[in-house]
Amino acid sequence: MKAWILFFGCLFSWTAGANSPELARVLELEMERGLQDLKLDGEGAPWRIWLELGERVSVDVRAKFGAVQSETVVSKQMPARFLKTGVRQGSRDYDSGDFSGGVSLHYERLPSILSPSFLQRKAWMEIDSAYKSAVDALTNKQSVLALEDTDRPAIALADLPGAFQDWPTLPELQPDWVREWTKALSAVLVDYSQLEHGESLGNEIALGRMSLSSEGLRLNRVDTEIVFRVLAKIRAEDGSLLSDSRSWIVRKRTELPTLGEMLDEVRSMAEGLVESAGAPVLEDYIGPVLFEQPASVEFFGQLVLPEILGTPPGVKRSYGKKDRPAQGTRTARIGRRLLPRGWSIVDDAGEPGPGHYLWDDEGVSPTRVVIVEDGVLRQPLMSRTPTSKDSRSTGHGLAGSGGRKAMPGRLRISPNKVLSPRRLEKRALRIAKRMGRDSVLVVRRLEAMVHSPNMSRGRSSGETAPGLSSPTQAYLLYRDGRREPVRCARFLGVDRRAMRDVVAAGSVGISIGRLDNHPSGSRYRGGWTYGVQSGWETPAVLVSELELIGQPGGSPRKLPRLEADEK
Amino acid sequence: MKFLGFFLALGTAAANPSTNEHQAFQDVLQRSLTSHFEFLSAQDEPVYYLSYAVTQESSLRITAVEGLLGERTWKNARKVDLDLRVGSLSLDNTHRQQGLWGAGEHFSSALPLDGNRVATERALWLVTDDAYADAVEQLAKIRGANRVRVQESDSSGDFSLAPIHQHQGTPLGLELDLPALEADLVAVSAVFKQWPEILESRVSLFAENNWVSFVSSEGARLWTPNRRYRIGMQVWMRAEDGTEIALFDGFDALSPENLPERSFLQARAKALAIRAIELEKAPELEPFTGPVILGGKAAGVFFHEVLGHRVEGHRQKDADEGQTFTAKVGEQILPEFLSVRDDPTQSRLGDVELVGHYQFDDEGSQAQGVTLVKDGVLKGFLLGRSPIAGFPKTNGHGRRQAGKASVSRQGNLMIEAKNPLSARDLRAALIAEVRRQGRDYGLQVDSIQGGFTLTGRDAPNSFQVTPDYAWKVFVDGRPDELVRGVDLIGTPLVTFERILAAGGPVGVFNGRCGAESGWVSVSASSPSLLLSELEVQKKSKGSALPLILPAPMTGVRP
Repeated sequence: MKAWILFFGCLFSWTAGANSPELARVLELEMERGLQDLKLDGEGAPWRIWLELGERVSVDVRAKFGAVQSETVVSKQMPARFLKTGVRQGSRDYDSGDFSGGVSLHYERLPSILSPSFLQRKAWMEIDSAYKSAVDALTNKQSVLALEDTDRPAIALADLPGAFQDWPTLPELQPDWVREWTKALSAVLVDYSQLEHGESLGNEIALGRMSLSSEGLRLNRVDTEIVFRVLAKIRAEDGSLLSDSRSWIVRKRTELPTLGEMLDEVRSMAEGLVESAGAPVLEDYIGPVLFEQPASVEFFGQLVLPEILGTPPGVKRSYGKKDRPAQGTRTARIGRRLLPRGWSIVDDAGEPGPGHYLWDDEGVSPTRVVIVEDGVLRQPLMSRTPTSKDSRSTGHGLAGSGGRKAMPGRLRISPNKVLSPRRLEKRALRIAKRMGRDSVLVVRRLEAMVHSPNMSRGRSSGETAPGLSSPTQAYLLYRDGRREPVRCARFLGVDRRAMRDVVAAGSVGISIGRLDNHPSGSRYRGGWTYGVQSGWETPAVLVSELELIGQPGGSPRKLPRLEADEK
Repeated sequence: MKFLGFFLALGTAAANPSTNEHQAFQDVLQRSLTSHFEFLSAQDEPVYYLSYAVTQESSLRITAVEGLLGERTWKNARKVDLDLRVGSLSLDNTHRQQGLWGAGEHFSSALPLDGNRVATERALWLVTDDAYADAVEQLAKIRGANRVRVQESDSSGDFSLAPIHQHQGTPLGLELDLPALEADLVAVSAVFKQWPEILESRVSLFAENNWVSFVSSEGARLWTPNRRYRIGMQVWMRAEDGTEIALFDGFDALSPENLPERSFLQARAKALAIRAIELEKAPELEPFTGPVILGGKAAGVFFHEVLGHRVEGHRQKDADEGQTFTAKVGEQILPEFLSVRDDPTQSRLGDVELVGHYQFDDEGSQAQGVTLVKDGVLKGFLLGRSPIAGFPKTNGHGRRQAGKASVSRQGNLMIEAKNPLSARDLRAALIAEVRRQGRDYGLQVDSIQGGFTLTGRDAPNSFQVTPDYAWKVFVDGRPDELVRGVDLIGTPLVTFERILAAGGPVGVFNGRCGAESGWVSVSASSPSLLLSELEVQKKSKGSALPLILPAPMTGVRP
């Protein structure tokens, strides 16, 4: 009889948004039930359950030469909903959470229109499934790493919001605006008939999340992100394919420049490409390299990022080997020099602008972190994945399943001394002269790795820096002031030690948004819009010595364009 | 090794352009084609054939889950596929080389959705130049390889001449009352809530309203619409032994007025749920060899896998293929009472619309009905524009998914029986055969998920047909018993010799078939078949434990 009554109760259940007290209540009920009663034979109940109910609305537009190629709109009326479930088995001292071989977080897609009874049923199934995965992961971990062999707890301490403060709703997105701006950004490229490729992308996302955990986390938030990107390619007469791109990555529309300013930037990029296509190939070069401000963001983004992240690797089973599992934390680098004396790196994700956020994916509010002080690495960015028993999260758990890996928010890299652009160039020329060169290489733009045609250069298999991408806009600066564009330059053998060879810097530029992934994964293979947003303020930098080679390639086009198109 | 799957269609919809709009777009295509062909046909390695096939894919997907609207997604994409050939009809850059999967890359490119002329022309220019460079390189490689290899057994050319068609189809709309339809789907999905033992369930509508615009250097100019609908319902359960039980029921239509009513769907949903519950309790069948009746749908899939893929023309001259039937033209391969044809021109069989229907294939040739087997004797093959020994011309079966190169494929495969038995007589014949073999029971298989076959020489030339469940039919008069965990396996020549009789109503399986040229819509229809012997193997099964806690609210332990 009971089932029948409840059956009718289910049938007429009402629908609700992702953030509502009713939905929170059913998740709490299932979490409680799981913590108390979810037990396999010979196993205790889970020590920690984490649930996240999400709803996402998005606009994604791609255009080529001003014409829309695809458009996907997920509207507020029919949002994409999901439930993420993380269950950890063991105890706070030693648990299943950092075993890399298991499924650490279960993801289940939910209907756009959601009812509490449906959600409760899904949570029941997902917690069950995640619990079994956790038991499996713990058993596997125990077989490769005993409790006595580990010196760090399962999770770092953190201050967590313990009560739902409000029930925010998702904003209405603006598909027409995203479409028109995306079209306009590649439409200007039609004017440059030499270009082979002219593509733009516009992406606006709002993500609402309600997070709960058995540690007491109760958090509701809505995060937004806007990305516009433009990619253009041109073929030089010798067949080499040259490309360049521009990105605008921000949290809010008000943080974007005007469309006119963005179009000017795209035209400047196209003109730069046309100029590069007619430029000579760089001859093999060893000497000082000056990275101007847009290039210096990529320079630091690619070289400094892996050095300032504190998340240790998980416990892995090394099949076929008797080695003990990787437990290295790379803590030896703390207290060592990363940059020249007087330099600093500070992350303050609480400041508005690109990379800003209020809580990380683990529900921790970001703290201002002095990462590098006087050139020495002091405090890496931390998630709740600990390196020692004293570890604390700095509120940067932004990558990996449920934010277990640290990523930056808003970084500012400050030099010890600021030179004017003119004095920076003079300094570079002096170094070049000492090395017997009459010119210095100035890099205005470095290839953004997400656009790299050779992703292998951006792939890192471990926690080390993957190298430096190629210049997309560079010139040789001569003592008489001539600036001669060069193309097809490739760096050789650049790693983090290049940062110690920084000998001078300009003033810190404006904050530029980047999307990146944690280097332990496929850092640059996220595609056009995927990755964690961060804001970077960096100065132009002069590196005393780097090696580059000229590496042209490709074949010229055979087929002539249609006459009207050429015009 | 080739894996040719035939699974239930998960089909997909929007408005077609007006006649003026598609003709204007076709003019853009034609202009690029004419200009690029003129230039490339005057090169040292001249292009002798060039076609652009633009596919506009517009689809709508709506799902409903347990009385809730789950998803409503529209998708639109436009893509051009090139067929660019250098060399000659007898040897060109597409020539299949033994040991290599395909001769070079297939070239396709995304195009703007709105037909923007400049963006379309630039995309066509780029992809044509890329395709030409690759074609020249490929042809050089093929010529080189031919110098150091023995002559191929089938010396037919790589391309054949075909009649040139010009056809402008009538634009279609989706013509769906979305609010009413969504309400229907939600109401049907709510039916499954009566059974808390069912872990998951879903009711979906897929509607697609595509069109293809085709121009070639030979002068072909075609515009063809292609509209299709499917309503599907799925349920999942987990048996105590860890077996995942997934059942599907689907309804296909080529026009919206033929979609089923809410009440009909609700009744079918109820029947599906009850069958899933029965199946969860049903025993698993142990491996078995013996007499089997394949119901009409199951027999259709059986023929699709066992015969249909093996009579696709390109396999007959591919030295990596098993070529089961290549040398058997004119020979008896089936019982005298069976004939097989493939007829894409037919859009309906009885009350059922056939999703393998099309007017023109993807190479611009008119679809034709083809007799493959007449009174048990093999008569011919399914052919695109790649000729084979003894069969120099296309019969309109060159098919592909957008983004892939065309090969010969099935459309509507039809198995026809002379003097079919009634369903009752066929069952009696099964029981008699079981008795004759001294067994306790035979099997009856009706509901089918799909199947696959291996046709290459590097693997056993076997097939697998995957029923949802089967019935044990006993000789001693006991009631039929439902069993689960059944896969039917075998090899083609032996299995065809085991066909004893045909009869009962003709069943139609509408679905999607995956092979080298991607996924295409096909149907297979057949009367029921009695086989004296078919081997049954255990289906792969899950190993997950049942849920530990009872379901919230209902307290049911699924």
